Amino acid sequence: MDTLILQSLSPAIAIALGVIFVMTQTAIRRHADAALTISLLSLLVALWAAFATWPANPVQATPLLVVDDYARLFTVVLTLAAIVTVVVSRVWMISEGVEQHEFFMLVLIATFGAVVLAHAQHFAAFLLGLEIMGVAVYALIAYPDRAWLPIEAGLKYLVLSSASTAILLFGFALLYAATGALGFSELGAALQQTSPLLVGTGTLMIFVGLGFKLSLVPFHMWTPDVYEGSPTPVTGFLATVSKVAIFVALLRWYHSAQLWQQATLTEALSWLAIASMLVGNFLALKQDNLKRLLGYSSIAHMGYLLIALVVLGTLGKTALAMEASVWYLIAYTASTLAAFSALSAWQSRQGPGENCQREDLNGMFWREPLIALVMTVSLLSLAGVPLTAGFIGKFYVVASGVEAALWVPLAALVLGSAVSIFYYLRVIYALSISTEATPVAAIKGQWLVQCVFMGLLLAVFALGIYPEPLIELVSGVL
Amino acid sequence: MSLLIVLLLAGGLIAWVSERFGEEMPSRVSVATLLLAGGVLWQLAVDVLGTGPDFSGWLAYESHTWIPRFGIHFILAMDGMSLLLVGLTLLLGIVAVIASWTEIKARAGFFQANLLWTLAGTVGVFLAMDLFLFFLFWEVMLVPMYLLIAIWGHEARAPAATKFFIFTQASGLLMLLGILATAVAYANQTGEWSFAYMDWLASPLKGDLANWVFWGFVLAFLVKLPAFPVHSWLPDAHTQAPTAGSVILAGVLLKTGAYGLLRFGVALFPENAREWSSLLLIVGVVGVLYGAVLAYGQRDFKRLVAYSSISHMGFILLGVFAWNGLAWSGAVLQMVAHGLSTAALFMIAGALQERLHTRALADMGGLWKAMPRMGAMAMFFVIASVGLPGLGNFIAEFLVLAGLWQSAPVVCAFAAIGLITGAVYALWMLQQAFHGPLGEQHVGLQDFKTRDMVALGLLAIGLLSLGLYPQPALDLIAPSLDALALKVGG
Repeated sequence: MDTLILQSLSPAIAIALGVIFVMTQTAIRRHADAALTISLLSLLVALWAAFATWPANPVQATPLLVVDDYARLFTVVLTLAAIVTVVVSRVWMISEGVEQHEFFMLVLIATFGAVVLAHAQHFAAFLLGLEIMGVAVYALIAYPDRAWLPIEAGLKYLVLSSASTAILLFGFALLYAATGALGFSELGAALQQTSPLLVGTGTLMIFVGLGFKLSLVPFHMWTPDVYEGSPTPVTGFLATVSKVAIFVALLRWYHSAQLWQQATLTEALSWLAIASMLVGNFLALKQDNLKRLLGYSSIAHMGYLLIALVVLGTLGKTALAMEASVWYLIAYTASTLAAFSALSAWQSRQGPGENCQREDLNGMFWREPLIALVMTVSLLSLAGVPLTAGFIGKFYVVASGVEAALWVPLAALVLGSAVSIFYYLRVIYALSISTEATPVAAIKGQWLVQCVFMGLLLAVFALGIYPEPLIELVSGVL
Repeated sequence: MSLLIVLLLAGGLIAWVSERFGEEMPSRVSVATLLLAGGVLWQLAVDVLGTGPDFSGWLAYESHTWIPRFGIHFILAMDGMSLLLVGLTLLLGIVAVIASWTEIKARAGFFQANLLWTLAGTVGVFLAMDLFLFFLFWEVMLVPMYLLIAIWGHEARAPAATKFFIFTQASGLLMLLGILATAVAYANQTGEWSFAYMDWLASPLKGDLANWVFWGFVLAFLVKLPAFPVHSWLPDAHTQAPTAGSVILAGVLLKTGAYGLLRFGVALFPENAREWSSLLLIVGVVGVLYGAVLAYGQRDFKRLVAYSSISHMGFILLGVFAWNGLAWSGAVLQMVAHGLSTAALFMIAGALQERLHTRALADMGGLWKAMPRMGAMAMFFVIASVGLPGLGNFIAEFLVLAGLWQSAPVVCAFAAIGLITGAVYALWMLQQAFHGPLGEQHVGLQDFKTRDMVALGLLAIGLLSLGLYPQPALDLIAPSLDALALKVGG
């Protein structure tokens, strides 16, 4: 391999090295803060490396991976999300009294898998990334070893996710049988001349497999349980990094293999989108547990996101729809991560225990204004209220939907959003109810968490108020 | 003009922080901010109006590039109509602060911040001439208003606040869909994105799509107004809101719906608006009568005033779709007059609740003896809202009816009944609350202080001058309405 390839892959390499360092360090002497520092350093180096090589021409790093600006952009997003998770989970683990060392390593491994997914241009890399990330996430979900709920959630996710990977693999095999190609763009070229039956079945099976991982209706059953059972910082990680990475790879596959030419697929996707928006939002209404609520709302958000894919399918490749999906992914990551981080910080201020029923949030406004502010802003952003990143994301999706005249999915979007306001507002209202305070001793090192909160707030507001720089960036990337 | 909005936003922040320097500090900061903003507006008005009697076109205009990807600009522009409404907003802002001076004790800083931010959003709505920006302000005034009701409201505040937010937000999403559909159509037609009002005026949307988009806009405005079938959020929100919230809600937030109808609904889609005008007139007249009937059925002071708002706002809808200059100027005057009189009534209702801890009319009676100042003020504003000649509401409703007579005499006849029913419930309310024997438990109640009298006095002067000499106000709004008539052929 020549230096150019190594250089362009340096973000992924930095994270991988981080994994090795943490492992070695833990083997020599267990020291939580050292593990934390090494993990953060390796993520920061990865971040720096991604920026240092940007912008550049696409580099074919082996037939499996391609390093283009699209991959670099999402490497940055995923790494930032990992940094937030690491910082937030530290405080959470201290308050729960959980051993910390291996946790950071697992987050790094999962992030590595996610970064591989962002670079994947071949089914082999797709699968590798998916499994590296998946295995680490199983362990992360079941990490607190003395509680039942996480173990149940981990098992559920393990079984269902493996089953969906099996279906996915079957789909890969069918496509390979039909075309003899596994690379995304070779596949696209080969798809033109082959029998539609095998290709259609194969594609559909892949979408079923991915539908599980993205929790699209009707493959969403695991979502609320796993979200509820996982440790809160892990839920945030699962909801953002793992879904975003998969969607990023899916998007690359979708447009390099020119899947939009398959009208049936577009049709199917539009129904998946409608079902996800409606089911996700309506079921979220019934939830009193904030993690379950956010789980259902993430189902709905994946539905909104699918609209952009349907637009691509209807109009062929349009800049607006591509930008819309990338933008929505970024806005969704920022707001969802902010919501889970705030919840996790609040939980650790309440002492050990889950504490994420709605009434557990009462009084947050007056006792922890910063956490409450982050929570409120993130929920408003998820609801798509102007001045937040979520609004611009929704604006983009609706604009692209209008361009393709997709009135039925758009009607579902409007209905779903109207419903969603109700449950988001209910949470915000709960924050404002005053209660008796039961002070808990503060945990050392809160300043790092506060920095992360400031960063998240800044991101959500800056993207919402002055989106132009990111818009330019995104359109330059595509 | 952006200075106005920035001032209000920053004032909100300062008020929030000033909480730690004493209990009354936030209110003082608010009043100072509003006075300062009033000064800025005055300066602006003097600058442009002083140049001569001819002030056609925009009085002030500013535009900055914002999101070039979609051709979105930060455009603020002001004509006579916006000037009048922005002035009303600031005035009622001061009244609202005074009304809540003693009522709000908990977290006064955050309260004043939310109040000022709502006002900033409202001013933005009246000035924005880029539809993206307009939508943004439209939503931005919601969130702080929601918090005002949800945190400082009365006993059943949670459902009321939520209902208010969902109604407005859901209809707002339809408007967003409409805005985007128009923008995409514009982009397809001209090859460039634009959300600017003036650009859209120049190349109006045609065909089937225009019809749908028109309804997207109109629904959002009708909900805000509120018109008959979509009004049910209003009584709850008004009743549960703290006094300042009700004052702002009734005084200015409802007017954004009326303003939107005139500025965007009619001007951007003249053909569709004309096509549907008979239906909308019927909606308006039903609102007038239905609101009045329901108001008479209320046993709660605030709810009664809230329902009367539905009735009075029906006149605005009638005025807008009566489709001539006379009725339009009536509608605009009605926005101002109703804003002034209802704000005063809500302030009185709030004062009653603060003193009696009830809003039920049955628990009142004879209060004039205990609080003569309040009684006199209540009588003045009740009579104003009934539409006594010499006061602003009379001129406004008269103009609406006169205009309506030319285009739809039958509707006009029914709407005129609203004047009578209005007198019935309003006088009944006054009698229940302030006349009759004074209950023993009410002896020795605190009457209005000078501060309150000044606030109400300002409103009374406004109503009197509108009623006795409406010509300046009419001159101010005439150019905007003439331009509209020219555009849509009124």
